[in-house]
Amino acid sequence: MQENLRENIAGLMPEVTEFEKPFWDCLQNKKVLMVQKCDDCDHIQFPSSPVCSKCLSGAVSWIPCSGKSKLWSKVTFHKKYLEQYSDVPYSVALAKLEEGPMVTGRITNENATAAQFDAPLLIRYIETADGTVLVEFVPE
Amino acid sequence: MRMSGKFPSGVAVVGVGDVDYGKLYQIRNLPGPRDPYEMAAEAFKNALEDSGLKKDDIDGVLCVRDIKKYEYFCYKVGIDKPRLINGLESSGRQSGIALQYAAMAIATGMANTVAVVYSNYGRTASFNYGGDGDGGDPFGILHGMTSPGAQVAAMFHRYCHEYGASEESLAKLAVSNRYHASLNAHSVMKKLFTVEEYMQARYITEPLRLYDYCLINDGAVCMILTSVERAKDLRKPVVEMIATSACGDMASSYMKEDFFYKGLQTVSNELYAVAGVKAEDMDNIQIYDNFTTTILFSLEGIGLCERGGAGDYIDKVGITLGRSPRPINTANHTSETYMQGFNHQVECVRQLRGECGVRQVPNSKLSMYICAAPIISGHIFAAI
Repeated sequence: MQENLRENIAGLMPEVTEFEKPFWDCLQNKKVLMVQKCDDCDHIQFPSSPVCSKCLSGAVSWIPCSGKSKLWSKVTFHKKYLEQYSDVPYSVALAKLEEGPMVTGRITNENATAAQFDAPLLIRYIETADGTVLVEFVPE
Repeated sequence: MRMSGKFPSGVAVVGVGDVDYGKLYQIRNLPGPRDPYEMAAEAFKNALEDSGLKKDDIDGVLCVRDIKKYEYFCYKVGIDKPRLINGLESSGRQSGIALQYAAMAIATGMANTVAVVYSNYGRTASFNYGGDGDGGDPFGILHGMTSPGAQVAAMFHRYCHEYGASEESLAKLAVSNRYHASLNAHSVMKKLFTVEEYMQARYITEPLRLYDYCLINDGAVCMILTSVERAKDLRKPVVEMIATSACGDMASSYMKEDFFYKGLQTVSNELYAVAGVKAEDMDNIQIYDNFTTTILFSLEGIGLCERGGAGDYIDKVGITLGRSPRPINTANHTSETYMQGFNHQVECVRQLRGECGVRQVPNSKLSMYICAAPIISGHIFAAI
């Protein structure tokens, strides 16, 4: 995937709290997407919460996801909304991880066109021009 | 069901006021953004005039969107001791909720007569709608996923896969909305287009095209609510809010995997139970349509057809004035004006009063408003 236009992606980063820092550090430095697992009830969640959203336990751990997922939906942007994503048309995939949560990620226009709904996908990690690591979904 | 099925008995909408959206839209080359308080003051004056009330009768004010500085607004229109006063944030889901807060205040005696005032200067202030990402999902915008149009586009794409729906059903909604807007002198867009022309329009976020999107235009709306008892002494025929309901649809994203279905069912079933009516009894229905797609989801969620059956409903029952037993969206966001649900609610009132001229739905006695969003809300209004 061509990511050389993707300058200043860091400008789109949310404010990272102390609590969420391990997630972002792991994505950036180890190229691993983590989800949360409750130590008490095994519930898995993403995006993160300081507590288990099912049982409210504070004992939640970050675990790496397998990357195995299925395509839930996809869109292709033809209008420019973001300076970082001015290279329209570009596509975005919404995939359901085998662990359960839905994750938004990049997908090439070619793969977006070809991939069937519910098709198995894997995660590939890509680096943008400013060095930010993003998630790309590719057909299994 | 909630504990009390009695609320909101005895609450009426007695005044509605707005501005000429089409005229505002045509004025270009302003030296700066339009003043949202100026538009709000005009809508407020128009609503007072419509109701026959005097300014001093207003003891509650709820300010929405670009007049969130409620003290500013009250100062500018000279309301200095309101008993109910607050501001609500800018999202469209607030419009139904604002009316509920007003009704709650009236029903409980917190205030007697409440003006809900909304103003939007997004066009001349050049707001970047859709570029803010999705509050629930910080991961999305990093990957280029804007909101909520993109979220709705993704939902529609999935919906097409699950139910075999096609882009043509959206085309029919967009065409119908435009036709209805052409029957309103104050609409922003009145030039008719065909399904074929819809299909030729450019994609914004595929599979949604230009005409699926709400307009971006300036304007303001005011709605005044009070008790039915007081309403009987006022200028216009009484329009009672006979049922109102809301239900959050809280998730990690604007995108709901059930297309808002369960929340819409909760809200609409409660509306029907409280009002003692059913969906088919409505004479017209105004559906919040930030994108045409939500009309499909709402037709199913409020029980007018089965899941996945909205396209069939559009073809067989119809949605357009003159061709449907209950026209859908004689007011709308894609062609009339983007007043984030307020124009829909105003339309409910005007239809029940019989004030809609060439877009009047004959003999309108019951009118429903429904909004599918992270806070799902709805009302049924009745002419009494």
